Amino acid sequence: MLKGVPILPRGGGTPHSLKLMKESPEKYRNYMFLVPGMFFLLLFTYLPIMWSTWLSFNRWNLLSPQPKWCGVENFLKLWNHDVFWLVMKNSFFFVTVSIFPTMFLALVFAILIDERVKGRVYYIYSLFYPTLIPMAAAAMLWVYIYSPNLGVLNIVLSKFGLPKLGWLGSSQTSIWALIIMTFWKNLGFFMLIYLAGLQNVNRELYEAAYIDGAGWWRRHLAITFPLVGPTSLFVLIVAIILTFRVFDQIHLMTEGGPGNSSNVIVYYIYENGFKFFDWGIASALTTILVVILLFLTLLIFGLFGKRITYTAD
Amino acid sequence: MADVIFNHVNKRFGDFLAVKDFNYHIEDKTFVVLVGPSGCGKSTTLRMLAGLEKVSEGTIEIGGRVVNQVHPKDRDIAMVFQNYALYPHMTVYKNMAFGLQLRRFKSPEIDRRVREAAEILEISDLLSRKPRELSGGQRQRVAVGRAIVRKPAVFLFDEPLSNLDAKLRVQMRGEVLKLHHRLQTTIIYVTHDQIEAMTMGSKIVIMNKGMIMQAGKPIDVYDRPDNMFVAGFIGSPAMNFLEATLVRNNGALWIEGGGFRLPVPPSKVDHYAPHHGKKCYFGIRPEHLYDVDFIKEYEPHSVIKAKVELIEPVGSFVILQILLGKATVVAQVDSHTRAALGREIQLVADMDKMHLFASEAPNPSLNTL
Ligand SMILES: Nc1ncnc2c1ncn2[C@@H]1O[C@H](COP(=O)(O)OP(=O)(O)O)[C@@H](O)[C@H]1O
Ligand SMILES: [Mg+2]
Repeated sequence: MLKGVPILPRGGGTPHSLKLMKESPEKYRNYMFLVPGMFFLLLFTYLPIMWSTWLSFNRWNLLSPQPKWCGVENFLKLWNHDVFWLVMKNSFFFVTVSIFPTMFLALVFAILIDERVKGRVYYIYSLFYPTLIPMAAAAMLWVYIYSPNLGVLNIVLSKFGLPKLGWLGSSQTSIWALIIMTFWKNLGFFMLIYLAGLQNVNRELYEAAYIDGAGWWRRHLAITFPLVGPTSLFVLIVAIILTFRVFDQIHLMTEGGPGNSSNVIVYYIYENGFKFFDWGIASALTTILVVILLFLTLLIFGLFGKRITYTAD
Repeated sequence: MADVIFNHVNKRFGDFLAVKDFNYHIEDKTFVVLVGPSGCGKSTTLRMLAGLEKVSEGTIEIGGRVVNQVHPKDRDIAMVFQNYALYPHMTVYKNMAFGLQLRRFKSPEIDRRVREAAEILEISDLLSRKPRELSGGQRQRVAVGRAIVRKPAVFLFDEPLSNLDAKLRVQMRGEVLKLHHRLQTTIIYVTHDQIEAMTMGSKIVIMNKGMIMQAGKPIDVYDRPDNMFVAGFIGSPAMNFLEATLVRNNGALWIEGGGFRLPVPPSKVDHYAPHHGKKCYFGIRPEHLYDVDFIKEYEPHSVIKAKVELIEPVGSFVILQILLGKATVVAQVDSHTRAALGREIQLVADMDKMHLFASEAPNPSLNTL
């Protein structure tokens, strides 16, 4: 291959594959443009992560107001603490239970909206509305919906002759109540991402399948689902991160209760840091969260990253 | 047996009439080409036949059965799309097998048909590839393969070659024709390219603004266009049209216009005589204007003199643009012409091949009146 000649991959390529920048003095100037961004990223992202990672190996609380190296003591303490395991269980439960229905329904709604000619904007807006409103307002709304005697939900349940539930007030249902509310809040966001992803799917494919006799479900199972793969990968990772980080609604609606039944990792970090003033433990929990998210992200990319069909060819 | 009959078919999109009174009978096993400029309703017509669009008025019959309410899968048709519509995540094999699987064919039968189609189209070694690993021509073959495994009574092609480069297009044209010969089924083929239409169709249907302008064998349409639209659309370079008046002068009939006066050949005098004195359009194809140097015998009155404005040597012939009165006229002359830019040239018009069209829209041919 000729040196210095731009090489485009087969089937039309993206500009990033141009090798024009190679060995040119412009390269350094180009890197310079990254400096301000990198500086703030370093200052506000990487440094705090390193700082908190370091802190997780320190004893630092009200009794020990100066950080003091203590090895894995914080992690051992958590390991031997029942609440930590309950919190971990709740977090994983929250994520696994909410992610797949959210993704699935977000895609189905995106498909339904995408197939509509009239009233598209209205449908998009009404599904996206929960995502737009502040979490505090949403929490207020749902506290009312869930309230045991006056709440809409229990009134509806009893209309159908079903027993009233404690919802936020019961350790059996509190986490479910939060999962449902979070599902409602996030659905529109993921739906919008899927709606964008669907624009990359060639309409002719559906017509070809339709002529071959594929029904609605079959068309979407055979065409849409595989072809929105790249979008799904993105949605999956974003959904995992977002769901592991749920905090506001828990703080506003249950404070992790009753009896830690709805306590999850970020809220637990907050409790340790701002209620129990044990910054060492809070840092250790933060490290654990970072490791979990990093691991899951890499795992998902490793599992699916290469196997996904990209529609653009 | 699968005749396809369009019975006064209309298609509306809201208030817009995209296809108007489409009325045509396609005989079994013929290769019919729908041709016309972009937006004239060719795809819409084909899609109504496929069942992808509802018919607004009229009926469509396939093999003696009205299919207006029949699901596409039960119409015994297969369609090849312009952008191939291959499933990008499936191998070539699966792309071809998919339609059969949906129809619940047994897998040995599917396998047999896919391999047979692959054999015909010479893509047997590509069966395990994904569409993005194929060239444009190979994708086109797979798209055709996906249609032929179904063994439908009617094939529908919507501009299947327009994404290919010129050379490949010519090659694929031939292959589609061979395929038609081999399969012996009805093919309805849409294109905006009149050369494709002329070379491929056993019948061609020329459309404009949602209406059929003329239908027939390519050579008949070329020789006897019904109106000015068809005359200008079919043939390349396009027919010349010149504003003219028919004048009678002691028994003979002349066509007079800006910078020319040409005799109507005796064989046509009776035919045109009733129109004398009228304004009309005189039509003559570039290939029917000859460089006087290369003609042995000619009627001296049929010569026109004009200044050469442009010379385009194509190899087998030369295309000249000449200025006649205020109009530019295109002539296709012998490749050894001595025409020179800016100089006058004498061209002989083959008046037996002349056309006359009425001056009012839709400019019907006076030849056929
Ligand atoms: N779904 C549609 N809604 C509204 N107008 C349409 C639709 N499909 C096609 N048309 C219009 O109908 C006319 C014919 O379109 P089409 O059949 O695609 O033309 P062609 O295939 O000959 O280029 C065009 O003017 C086009 O804009
Ligand atoms: Mg078209």
